[in-house]
Amino acid sequence: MTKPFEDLAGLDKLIHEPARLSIMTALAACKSADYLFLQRLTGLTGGNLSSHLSKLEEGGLIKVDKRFIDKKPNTQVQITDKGRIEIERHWKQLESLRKDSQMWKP
Amino acid sequence: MDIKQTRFIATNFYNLQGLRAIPLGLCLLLTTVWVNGTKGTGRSFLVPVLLLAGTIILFIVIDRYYLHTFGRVQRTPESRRLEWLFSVVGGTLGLGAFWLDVSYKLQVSLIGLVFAAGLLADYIRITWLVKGRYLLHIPLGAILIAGISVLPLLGASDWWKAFGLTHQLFGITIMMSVFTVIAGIWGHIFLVRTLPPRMETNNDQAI
Repeated sequence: MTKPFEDLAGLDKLIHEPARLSIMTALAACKSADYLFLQRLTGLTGGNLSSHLSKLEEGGLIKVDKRFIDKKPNTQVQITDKGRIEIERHWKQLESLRKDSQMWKP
Repeated sequence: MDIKQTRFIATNFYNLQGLRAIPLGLCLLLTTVWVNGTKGTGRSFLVPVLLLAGTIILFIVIDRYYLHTFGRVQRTPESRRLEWLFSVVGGTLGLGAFWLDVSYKLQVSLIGLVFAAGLLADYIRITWLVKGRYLLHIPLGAILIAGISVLPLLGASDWWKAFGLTHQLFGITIMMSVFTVIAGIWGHIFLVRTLPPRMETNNDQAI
């Protein structure tokens, strides 16, 4: 196996999934975002978004804070320091892969 | 959604809520028309009070609409600091320009030039943290307002009188308020288009 394929296989699958990548990228650009915003951004159903958020939370990449605002439940999601480092590293990896693939010869 | 756009939306979510600017623009427009159409002694100050009350109510309604339709995003401290700095500097320069405009008969509108510079600075601030070509109507509006501000210097003196206005300041203020309303609608359309109320059709593989 040549290097580009090794690098591809080495990508963090927890972040690389498109919906989770979108969530992580958005969260890295702000302090925190709520459930409704993330749902509008990703177009996911409530159940699917919850599932993705749970996976990211289990991985320690985000922090989910459930609270009440004006007597209504509100879920606020925040990226952790670890999450910020991981998403930055992931984008660098993807960029490097893109560059390497242009020079790659079979 | 492309990744630049995702970053841009998350960073500038509050700035893209364009409908917020509409009550402010309308309030400025109607106040200017009211001041232009009335004379000092005969003015009833009930009109600006009602306009201000209407603006506040409309602003609260729009705020609730955005909160319930698009959700909530908290900006980074870096982004907040930058906005605060721009507001303080812009407000100070605006007040100074306003004072000079009403105190002296100048060949340019300083308030118009400060507004245009503010628009350009705001555009740079919005796109500073995230690269990408978005909201190009802001620099275009800045060029337009700056152009109108220097019209007397270019020979079109008293251009505002053609519109039934008594002072250059009123002409510039009306232009600024009309631009604020149009830019607000534009920003809102951009937000609605980039965050449509869509739902996935099949995302089974994603999980």
